[in-house]
Amino acid sequence: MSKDTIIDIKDLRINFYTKAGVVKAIDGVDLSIIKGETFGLVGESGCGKSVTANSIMGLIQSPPGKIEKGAIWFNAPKEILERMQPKGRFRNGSSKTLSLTDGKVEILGLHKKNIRLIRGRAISMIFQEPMTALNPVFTAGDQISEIILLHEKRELAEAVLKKLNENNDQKKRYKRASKKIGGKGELRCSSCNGIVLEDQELCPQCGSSFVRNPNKKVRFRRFYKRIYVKMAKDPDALSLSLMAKIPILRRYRRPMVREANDRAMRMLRLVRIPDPKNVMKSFPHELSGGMQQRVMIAIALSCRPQLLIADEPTTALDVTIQAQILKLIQELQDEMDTSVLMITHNLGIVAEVCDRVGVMYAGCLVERASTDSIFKEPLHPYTQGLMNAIPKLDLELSRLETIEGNVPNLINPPSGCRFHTRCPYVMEHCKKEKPQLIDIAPGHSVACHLYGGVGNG
Amino acid sequence: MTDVQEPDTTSAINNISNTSSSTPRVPPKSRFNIDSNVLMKELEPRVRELRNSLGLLRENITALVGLGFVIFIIIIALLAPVICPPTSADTMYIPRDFKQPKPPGADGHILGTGNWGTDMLYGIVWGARTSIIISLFVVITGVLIGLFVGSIAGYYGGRIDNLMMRITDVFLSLPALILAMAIASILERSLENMMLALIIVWWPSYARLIRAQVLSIKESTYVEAARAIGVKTDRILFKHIVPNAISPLIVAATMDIGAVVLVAAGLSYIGFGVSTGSAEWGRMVSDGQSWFLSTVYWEGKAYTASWVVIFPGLAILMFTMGFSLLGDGLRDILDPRLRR
Amino acid sequence: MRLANYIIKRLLLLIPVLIGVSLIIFTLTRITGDPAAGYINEKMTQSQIDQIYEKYHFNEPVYTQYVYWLNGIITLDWGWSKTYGGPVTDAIAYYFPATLELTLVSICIAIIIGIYLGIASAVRRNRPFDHVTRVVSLLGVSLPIFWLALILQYLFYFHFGWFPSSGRASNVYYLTKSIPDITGLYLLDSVLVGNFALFKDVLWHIFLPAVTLSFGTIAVVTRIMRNSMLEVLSLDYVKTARAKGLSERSIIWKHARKNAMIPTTTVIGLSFGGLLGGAVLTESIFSWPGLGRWSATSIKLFDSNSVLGFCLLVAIIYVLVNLAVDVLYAYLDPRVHLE
Repeated sequence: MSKDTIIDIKDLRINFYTKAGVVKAIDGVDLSIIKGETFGLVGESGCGKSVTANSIMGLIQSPPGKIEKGAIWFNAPKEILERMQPKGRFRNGSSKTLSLTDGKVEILGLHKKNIRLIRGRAISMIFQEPMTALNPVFTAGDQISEIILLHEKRELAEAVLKKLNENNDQKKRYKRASKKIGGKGELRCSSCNGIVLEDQELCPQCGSSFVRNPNKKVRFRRFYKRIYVKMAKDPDALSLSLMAKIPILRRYRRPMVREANDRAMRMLRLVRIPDPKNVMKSFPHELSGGMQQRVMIAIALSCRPQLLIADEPTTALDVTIQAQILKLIQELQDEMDTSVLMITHNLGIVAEVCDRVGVMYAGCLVERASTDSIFKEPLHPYTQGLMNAIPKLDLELSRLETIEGNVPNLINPPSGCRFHTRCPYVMEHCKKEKPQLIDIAPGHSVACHLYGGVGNG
Repeated sequence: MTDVQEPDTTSAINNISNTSSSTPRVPPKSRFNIDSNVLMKELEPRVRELRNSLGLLRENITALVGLGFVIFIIIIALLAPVICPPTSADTMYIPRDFKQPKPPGADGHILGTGNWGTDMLYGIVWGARTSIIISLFVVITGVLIGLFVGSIAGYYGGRIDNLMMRITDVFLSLPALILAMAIASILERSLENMMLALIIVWWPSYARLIRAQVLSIKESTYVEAARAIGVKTDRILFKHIVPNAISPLIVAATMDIGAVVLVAAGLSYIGFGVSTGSAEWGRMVSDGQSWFLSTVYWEGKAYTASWVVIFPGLAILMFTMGFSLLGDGLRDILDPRLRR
Repeated sequence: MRLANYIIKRLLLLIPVLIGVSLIIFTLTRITGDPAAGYINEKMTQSQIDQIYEKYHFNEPVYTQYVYWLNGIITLDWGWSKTYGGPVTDAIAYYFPATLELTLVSICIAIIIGIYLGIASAVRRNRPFDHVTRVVSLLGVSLPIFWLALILQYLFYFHFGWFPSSGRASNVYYLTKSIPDITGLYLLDSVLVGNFALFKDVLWHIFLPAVTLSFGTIAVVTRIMRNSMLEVLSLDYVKTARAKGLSERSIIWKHARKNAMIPTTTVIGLSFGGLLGGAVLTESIFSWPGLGRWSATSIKLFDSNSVLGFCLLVAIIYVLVNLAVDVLYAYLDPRVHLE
């Protein structure tokens, strides 16, 4: 595994134990994601793409779901690895040791306290329906600053300390001025008539202040200083979290919350929301679908994760907004050097944004290649069927091509290769043995007996 | 996870078409012109649904326990004349020996005696009858009135709806016990008047329930389709809307049977309804209250006469619990989303 | 601003309901017997009785009577209470604080315990804790309050002797007249005066009645909170919260709870009516000198005037409480404002 690989999924098998039977949802998935790339995971509804994504985050609910086999290796940043507890106790009393191999940690075996260090900070996820994914009783600003407060306590504490230390010597008196609307509709300072921007508190030309109390006095400064020094050293200290629960002592969090809100506003600007101040105070149902998805992206990216999992982020949006969101994700990816796992059933999106693609069918990964290869030379019959199904403007057809049959029931999946019931090139061997994913060309793997030869696999 | 099941309607349709496409029979000439084949075809899916419901019932433990309680109580009520033969023309009059309360097991009184030496077993057993009569009468009448008011208000909407909803609002703004107290305190103290008070208290909630159901069903496509082919209004109301609105009503009615008995017991405890010494559980509690914490002597041993209060209360508890559990179970069964 | 408009709109809707309620009560006063009986007591002479007839226009048609009666209600002339031996309004003012105290304590107990149990049993779904809670909840709904009161009295007063069975405070305090009379709420008054021995005594006395009264409400609140939490925990934003890395405890008690409380507040308001009704029975059994016991005694003495006065008061309180709850609902759920 090279140093650039962020995620390495090896032979993942997941079952769901339901009343109707055992659903063999994921049956052997192998894939890896490299730093900085966009990996697309394509497939029909119900083929297991979301389950794979959820398992990377450790979000598979344990009662119905069970991870039968497999490992997911994650190249975690050092600070996170340092804070992980080596052992964890599970409910039934058994302990699990941390699986670490040269800087890569195995996610599926992580204790829940450890995986919480990863979620939101090193790997984050955005979902399909932004309206239901945001909590309706909290404002957008609250939800963004929540994740910042959760994960970046140390940075916030340091920023607050800096502010506390510098405020000491500024006791200047400021001239009071107000903002007025000038001739062409721009904002001007009333005392010097220079141009000012909307959220500036001091006039850059003459130095008069637009707010009533520019020297925000912080009471109990020494007490706060002590607390924040402690927080910068050890954000998870028990005494600090206890104090956060006691009503009056909770005030110590205020400067930190203000810092977090500032950063949330910066994130909102980063996701190109035009009016961040109002959006911060709005509730999710007051925003449009595109804005909601931007807020979700802001939440996901605020801690600069290594990997962003986008689970069909544009399916619920209008086509024009789709394009904007995809472009936004691409730009942010470049700025932050994040990898993206893009889950979609829309091949158009795959062609637009993905560097490499994995095609899934009925819980198995059937083909894995770069986007060019997949589109130019689809090898697996299922992929070929998908490509043929796309209506092409330059061909005159009387019927649209389809793939015969239906998606199989995963409680009783077809024997051998799960696609054999619908495959136009089905052979006897396909019903007996399941094909393994093998490399046909460099970077292009297929799981099909057509390419493996009989007896292979 | 997608769970594609083979629809079995295809096989059902095949079965039906097989039977009717055999030798073309001349339908029997009956006065009502019922084609028995058509009747079978209509009933087939309903029979299947019924079998499905019974299967679900069997799985649901709480509903079974509730059903068990209910059946037990009904049997006791039916067998009341056999278990405890009445001693006077008024069956509500509990036979008594005008002595101090006796503990359970004394003198052949299985549950002991209470105030004025009334036989507790008689009171409990005939009290079951009283409770069932009261609750059934109140609930059924309330449902009928509520059904009438609610369906009209829901279907016609507009001013009629508004007026009726204001009226139900007024009744619903008075808590049940309080309103029943108010009405019963004015009228003469009798069982019938107590039932009347309870009916007045209970019908508005049914009217609201039905109206809500009617409103939501009214907008659905199959009613629109029926109207499009020109079916008359009241036929739509009774043939389409009412059967679909019935299931939450059945659940509410079942649970209310228990609730009515609770309020009726409360009312008779205070002093309404039946006269003292009658076989009604609430009244028995209030009669026994004076003996409740005092000591009585029987065969040389001292007992605290707690049984005079405990047994009637347990009976009320069992009754209400049984119907609540049954109602809960029915709700789980009748909810189409939870089936299969 | 939008909240203020909502409140005003709801207040306006309140008026027809209150008028309807007053109509019902008025009808009840006129159905049987001589309506003048409510205003006459034995001490009056014939000329005084005639004066009463004139004053309340008993000789005129019904609708005019209604107007005068309504006028009387608004000017706080609610008739004469045989049981109390004074005007009904005086009786209400006298007994109100005791009932208020009992009801407030019961509601607090019910809310705190009910919400906690509801959330805890939703989180431990289908495990023993959940089953036990559901059984207890069912019991709470099915138990007759008067029976529960008697059983609790038997167990904790008679058998164990841990709590007293009647009154608001021990006789000692009544005899030495050391109960302050600032608000009428003994718990509050004793704290304000600083008499902590009295405070403990009152708490000891209020415990059993409050627990009895709150039982039904606990059951209802637990059930609705559990159902609400189960629904909320299956929603998407809980998944998002988990994906953010929040701890389970934070997800349950911060995110989910705030959403699940919303239907619960409505139910709490509705069950308040049951609380007032239950107070009638509980107060009688525990000899709690409040409105409930007064009305129960009035019923036994056939004093329908007092009973109807009590019912009218309860109706007004219930309507106001539900209005407050609806406003609270609009405040808690930001989606409602936009109506």
